[in-house]
Amino acid sequence: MDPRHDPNLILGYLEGDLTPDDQAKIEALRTADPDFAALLDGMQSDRQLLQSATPAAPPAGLTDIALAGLERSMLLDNHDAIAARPTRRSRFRLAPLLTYGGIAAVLALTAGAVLNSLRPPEAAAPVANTPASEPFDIAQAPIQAQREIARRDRAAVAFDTTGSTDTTDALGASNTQRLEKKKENVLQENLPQEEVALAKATDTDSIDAAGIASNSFADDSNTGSRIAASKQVAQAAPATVASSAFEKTNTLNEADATGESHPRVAKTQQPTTTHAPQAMTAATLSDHQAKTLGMDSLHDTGAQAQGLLSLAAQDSPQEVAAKVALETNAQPKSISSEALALTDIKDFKETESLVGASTAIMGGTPQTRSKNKSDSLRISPNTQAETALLLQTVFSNDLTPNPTTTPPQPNWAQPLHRLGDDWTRWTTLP
Amino acid sequence: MDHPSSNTADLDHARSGDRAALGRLLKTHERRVFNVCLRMVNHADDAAELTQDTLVKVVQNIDGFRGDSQFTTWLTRIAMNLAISHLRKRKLRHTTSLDTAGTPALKLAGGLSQTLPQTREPDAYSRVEQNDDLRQLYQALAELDTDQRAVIVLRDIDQMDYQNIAETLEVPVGTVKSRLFRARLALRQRLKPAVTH
Repeated sequence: MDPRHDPNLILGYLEGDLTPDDQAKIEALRTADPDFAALLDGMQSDRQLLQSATPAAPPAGLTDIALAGLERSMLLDNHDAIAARPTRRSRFRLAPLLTYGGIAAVLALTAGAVLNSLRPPEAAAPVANTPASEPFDIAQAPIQAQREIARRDRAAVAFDTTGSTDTTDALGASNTQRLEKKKENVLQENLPQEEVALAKATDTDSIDAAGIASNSFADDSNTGSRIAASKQVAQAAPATVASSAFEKTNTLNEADATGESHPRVAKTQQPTTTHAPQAMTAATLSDHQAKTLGMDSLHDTGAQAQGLLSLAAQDSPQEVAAKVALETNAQPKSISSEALALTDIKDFKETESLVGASTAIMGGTPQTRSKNKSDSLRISPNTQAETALLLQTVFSNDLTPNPTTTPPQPNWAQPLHRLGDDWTRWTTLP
Repeated sequence: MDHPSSNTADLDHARSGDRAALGRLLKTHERRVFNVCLRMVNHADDAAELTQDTLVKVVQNIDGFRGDSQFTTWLTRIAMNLAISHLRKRKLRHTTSLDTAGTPALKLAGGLSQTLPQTREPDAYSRVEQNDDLRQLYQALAELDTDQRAVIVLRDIDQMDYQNIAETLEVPVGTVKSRLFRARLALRQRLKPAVTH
C-alpha cells in the first residue's frame, strides 16, 4: 500500500508514534510529494492549534448551580412525596378493601347461584314438604300435588291391567266415570233425545219404555242407534229382550206398513248371557262390511257370530234360529225364534253403516266408519278405545272372550298417552 | 488538559454521600466537560446547559458507577451522549422546519437550513477569540459529521488516548483511528478546499 494512503502511518506520523523506519518512509514521501507534504503540514497544524487552544472557561458557579438545582428538585420531590404519602396510603388502604371485597361478593353470588341450581326442585318447593299426616285437601293442593295424584292414579290403572286380556279392564275403573261423561256428550251431540235416554237407561223398564218405544231404527246407519240397541240388549234380561224385540218389531212393522221407514232391527237375541252380545254384533255386520273394514277377526270372533253372520246372509229366519242355537251350543229354547222370524236379517246385507261399538266388540279393531249418508257419528280412532270402554260399561262383565280366538291386544299407549298429556283434565277429575 | 484521574478519594467520598467531595469532584471536571460540549455544539449557552445536565446525571448515577472504566471516561461519555442527542434534536428541528416546503423557491432555504448551526451568531466566547485560524478551525470542526467531530474533540481537545476514545464512543479502537483520519482529512478539505492528496 502506498504510505500516502495508509491512515495508520499518517496518524502515527502526526502524533509521533511511528518507528524510525516508518518515520523515514513518510519523510521521503513528504519531500517527494509536495501535496502530500502540504496535507501533512495542514493536519499537523490543525492538531497543534486545537491542542494549544485555551480551554474555554465555563460559566461561574456552573457546578454550584447544578448542585443547587439538584438539591431543590430533590427537596421538591421529597415534599411532594411527603405530601402525597398519606393520600397514597389512604388510597392503598381502600384499594385492597374494594378489590378483595368485590371479589368476595362476586364469589359469594356465584356460589349461591350454583348451590341454588344444584338444589332439587322438590326441596325448592315448600308445599311439597307438607307432612303426610296433615289433612290433605286436593282443592287446596298445588298443581304439582294434583299431578302427583293423577300420576299415582294412572300407575294404578296400569298395574290393574297387567296380564289382563280385556281392553275395558285395562283402562280400569278410574276412567269409567270420565268416559261415561264423554259417552253422554257424544250421544247428546249425535243422537236424538230419545236414544240418549235409552242409552242412559239402566233398568229394564226404562229400556222398554224409552228405548224400544222410541228407537225406530229407521236409520240403520245411525251408529248411535246401534250402540243404544247393544246397550239395551246387554242390560235387559233375556226374556225382556226377547219381548222388547218382539214389541219393537211390531212397532217397526207398523211403521213399515205406513211407509214411513224401512224397519231393520238387529237380532237382539241372547241365547246365553255370555254370547248374546257377540251374536248380536255379528248379526249387525255382513261379510262385505267386515271385509271393507278389514275385520278378518270378525270370523274369528266366535263360531256363534260367524254362523249367525252366514245365516243372516243366506238362510231363512227359522234356519238361522236353529243354526244359531246349534253353533252357539246354547239351549234352543233360549233363542227367541220370534225375534229372528220377525226380523229381516238379509236386509242387513244392504246396511252400509258400521257400528263402532260392534267393531270394538268383535275384534277391537280401531276403525269406525260410516259410508252412507248418515255420518252423524264419526268416532275418531282415538275414541274407539273409549267406545270399547263404553260398550264394556254397557255389557257389564258379560263379555267373555272366546277361548278359541286370540284376544285382541289393546293399545295401551294411545289412551293413556292421550290422557297423560292433558294434565289439566286429570287434575280436574272429580 | 488536567485529567483528574487521581481524584479517586473524592470519588469514593462522593459515592458514600460526602457532598463536599462530590462538589470538589464535579468542579474538577466541569471545565473539561464544558469544553467538550462547547466544541461539540459550538454554542456556549447550550454547552453550559449540557454541562449542568451532565453534572446532574453524574450525581444521580454516581452510585451506579462500577469503576470498570475511568471516571473521566464515564463522565465524558455522559457529556458526549448528551451533546450528540442535543445535536440531533437541533438538526431535526431546523431540517423539518425548512425542508418541508418542497418548492423551488424554497430550495435556497433548504440549503440554508444545513448551514444554520454554523451561521448562528457567535457567542461571547467566540467573539473574544482573537485567533482567526482557530475560529476558522472551530467553524470547520462544527461542519463535520458528529462522529468525526466527536473523535477530533476527544483526541485533540480533550486529548484522550485511543482506548478511552473507544470506550467513550463505545466503538473499537480501529474505528476510532479510521474516523480520526477521515475527520482530519475532512477538516483539512474544509479549511483548504484546494488541498488534495
